[in-house]
Amino acid sequence: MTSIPVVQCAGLTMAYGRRPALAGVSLEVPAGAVYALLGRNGSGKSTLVRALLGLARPRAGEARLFGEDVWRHRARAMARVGVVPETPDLPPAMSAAQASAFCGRLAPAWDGAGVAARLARLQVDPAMPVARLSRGQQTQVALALALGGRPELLVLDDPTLGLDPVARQDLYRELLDELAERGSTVFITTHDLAGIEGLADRVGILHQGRLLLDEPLEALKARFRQVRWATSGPEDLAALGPEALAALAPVAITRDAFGVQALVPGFTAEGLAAAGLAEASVTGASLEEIFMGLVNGEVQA
Amino acid sequence: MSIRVIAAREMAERKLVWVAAGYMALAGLALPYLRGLSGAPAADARGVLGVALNLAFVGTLAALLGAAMIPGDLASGRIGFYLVRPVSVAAVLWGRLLGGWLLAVAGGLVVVLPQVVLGPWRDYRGWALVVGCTALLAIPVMLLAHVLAVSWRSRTLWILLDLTGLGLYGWFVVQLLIRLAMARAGRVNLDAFLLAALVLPTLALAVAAQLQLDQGRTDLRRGHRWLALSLAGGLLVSALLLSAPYLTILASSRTTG
Amino acid sequence: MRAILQVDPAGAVPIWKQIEEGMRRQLAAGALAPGAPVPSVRDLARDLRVNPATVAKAYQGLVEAGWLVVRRGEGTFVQGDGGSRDRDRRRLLAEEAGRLAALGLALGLARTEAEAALAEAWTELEQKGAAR
Repeated sequence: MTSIPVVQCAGLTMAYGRRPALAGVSLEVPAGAVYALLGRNGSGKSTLVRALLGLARPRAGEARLFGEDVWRHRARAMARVGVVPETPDLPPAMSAAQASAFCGRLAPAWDGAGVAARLARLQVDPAMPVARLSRGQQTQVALALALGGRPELLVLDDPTLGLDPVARQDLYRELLDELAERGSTVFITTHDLAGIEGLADRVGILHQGRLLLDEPLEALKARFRQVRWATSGPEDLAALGPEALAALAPVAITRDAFGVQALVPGFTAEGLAAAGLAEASVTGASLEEIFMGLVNGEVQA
Repeated sequence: MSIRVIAAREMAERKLVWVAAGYMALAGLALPYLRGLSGAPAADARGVLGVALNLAFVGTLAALLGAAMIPGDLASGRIGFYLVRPVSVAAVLWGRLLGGWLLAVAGGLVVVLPQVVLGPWRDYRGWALVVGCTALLAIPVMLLAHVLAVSWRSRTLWILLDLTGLGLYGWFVVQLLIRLAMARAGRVNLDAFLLAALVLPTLALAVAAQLQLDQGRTDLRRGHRWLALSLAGGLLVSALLLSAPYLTILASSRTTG
Repeated sequence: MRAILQVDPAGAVPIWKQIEEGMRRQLAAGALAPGAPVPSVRDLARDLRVNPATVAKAYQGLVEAGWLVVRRGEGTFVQGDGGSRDRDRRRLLAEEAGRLAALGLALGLARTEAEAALAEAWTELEQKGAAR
């Protein structure tokens, strides 16, 4: 039995006036998965999130949550979604306790005690106006409120932006607990590649409004390799020959004093041998290296 | 009900209003004495002042709140907090406006209370009429302030259409009024005309405000397009409806004349 | 045990595999007695800062290999099974031996040199252990 994906974009195209923001983005997030959307500033991440939350209407294509068009059925969908926005958007004079009471009265089911317990555990003063809390605490309040409705889907738009390392770890820990406890689906956009590496099931990379790739993190890490070999000069690279380079098909090449490093997708031992680099050292690539290679270097994924 | 919850929240948010209202109430009490109106009966002065303060307070507050509440949040992006709740856009818009309106009216009551209690104008029905009228007038004031502020904050050229439309409508109403008066339309008819001239654009503003938020949401450009076009259409329809009595007068005068 | 189990999210080996391998080593080395409880999926995920689903996958592999057993309502425990332990022990040893041999050959050493190095390291560690 195939269940409907919790998050679904099909040919999503967004624009601000004449300025395009997203071009034909399609992705799916199955229930229980953690999907990390990566991309540089201005790549369209926040626009995508706004489309997913029914806050902006697509020019073309559609955005669906739980199988329903979210622009048309926003209120119904939001009952099952918890949102942590990029910048805190609570009314500044509101306290966390007031916010919980307010959201509770608007939601079909609300775990007020859970919200209070979470805030107490994180030592956030529930009576203080949120504008007076630290940025990290404001994010925790936002997360607590997002989880208060016991959502099936959690959407976090760059939640670690502006957080110090301790606050960042606190956030991930709360998120992990939530995943362990309820197995919610998570859609998170982030710059924190190292932090998300342990969490994400599936990864998408957005670049100038297009989805460069969209695959399970494990498969992505299995595909890419860093191939290093020593050279005495730039002519050695040229000496590899275009066929060899084509066999290797690197996505990004960096040179330093010790030699050359190539980021290779679709790595195979045969390809390596064909390039005459059978003795090169081959190691895995971190998510950050893959991201930098794809977004900085020539795009050949 | 969501509208009630949102309205209540909006009222709780702005405690300063009560402070301002209390201050104005005291000022209303003290002012006649300060200005030394020893000649005119101080009581009457208080009564008049009470009405004036009520009007001014409610009107100003309605305009300020209308312009600040939602337009401010739209520009800053804080509107997202309300729009990710499982409530309709209408509930957010009308809930907040209702809260602001109730706040303005209640504040006006506080301002006027000392005059009602202390002053010689003990005509409670009269006071109720005054308070009621200012409360009703606050609605178009608040809506107009909301729409103009949204139009301004949206930063698109559609504002030109908005301002032109409102200006033309105002001029048109004045022209019709003059002609109706000259055609001796009668006091009752003129009153009805004025009422309609106020109610119809209020409805147009309401429809425009709803469409702006519902169709635009966080996209201010799109929202402004909907606002401008629906407002222009609404004002046009209002103008046409308002011209009906004058046209009938013209028609009847032609058949008789 | 949690402190010893290390996971490198940036590494090439999938995290669930790292966890499974790490736990196999611990279990093969006898760090946990049969019947002893292992950390819950949630606790381990918290400590390692990885997705609980990943930990669950590693645990599932270990359950299928016969290393762990899940008792409903009680938790996950080490299964006392001498057979699989010996098998895994031998496998781990073979893997490390293979790495040593590869290094020795790459360095161009003779087998006797590698064996001597191994014997020296072994005695040194034994003596350290005895001194404690």
